[in-house]
Amino acid sequence: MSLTTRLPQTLKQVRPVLSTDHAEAKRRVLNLYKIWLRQIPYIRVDYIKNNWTETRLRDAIKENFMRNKDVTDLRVIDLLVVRGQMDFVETAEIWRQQHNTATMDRRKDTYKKKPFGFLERFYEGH
Amino acid sequence: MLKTILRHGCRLRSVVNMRLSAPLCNNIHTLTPSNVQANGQIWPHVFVSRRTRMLDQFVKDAGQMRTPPPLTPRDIESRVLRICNEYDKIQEANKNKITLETHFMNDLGLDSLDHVEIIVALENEFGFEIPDADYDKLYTVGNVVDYLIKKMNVTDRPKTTVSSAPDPRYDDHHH
Repeated sequence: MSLTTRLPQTLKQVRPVLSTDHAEAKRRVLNLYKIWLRQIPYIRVDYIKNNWTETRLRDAIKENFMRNKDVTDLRVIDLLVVRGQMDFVETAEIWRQQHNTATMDRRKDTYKKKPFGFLERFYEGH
Repeated sequence: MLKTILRHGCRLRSVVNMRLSAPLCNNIHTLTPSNVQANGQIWPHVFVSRRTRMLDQFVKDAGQMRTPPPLTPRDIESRVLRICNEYDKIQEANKNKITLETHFMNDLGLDSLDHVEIIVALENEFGFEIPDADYDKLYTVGNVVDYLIKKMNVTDRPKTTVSSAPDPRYDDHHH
């Protein structure tokens, strides 16, 4: 008998951060993406020294979203969305400076995909 | 007496000239004072300025009364197709292959973020916001066209200007 079946139902449930199901989480992500898209012309004006084209900026924003494409945990998605909103406010209020904004289009995966084979998981320490 | 009136008119001429509208500005280039009419009659500057003000108002009103031609479903369809064709990820491979049955994700291989980009482009084109609850109705081009037609109350035949039947859109106000 595995651990998950032995646990009572009440212990398995965790308090949601914001969203209760995947549809709601997806809606939040898409809304966040939309406000970033709407901000693009203003970002170009506010951070004119970064000399972004509209396409490049759009790709950078999309890159930042796609970094976390493998996240499936609802609570993690919610936290990432909240962080994205805070980033948005920082960008829109011009609290960032040139180099700080330039990090937006640096290619870097924050989320490491979990290994699924037995040996791979063993190497990773799972 | 005439001298006084003339001098009075000449003193205020600059003020009157400032109020002249664009088509009436031709009078300034001729060296005659503005209160001398084409037929040589001299009008008091009060009349001239009042007439100018009224003409300006007429021009302004006429500008506001001009309305764009009504939208037809075919207009909306062509505009939606143009937006989809302009979107660069569609442009790469599938330019001009888009029909009303094209599904954004199944046929064109776009993901949901690209879908949001198309929706934002549509919002910019048609000038109203599409609520996020309606995103999953808008997966094919034909669905988008139908949705916009429904939202914008577009009808195929132009509405008659004078009609004895009450406008069904305003029924709420009568009941």
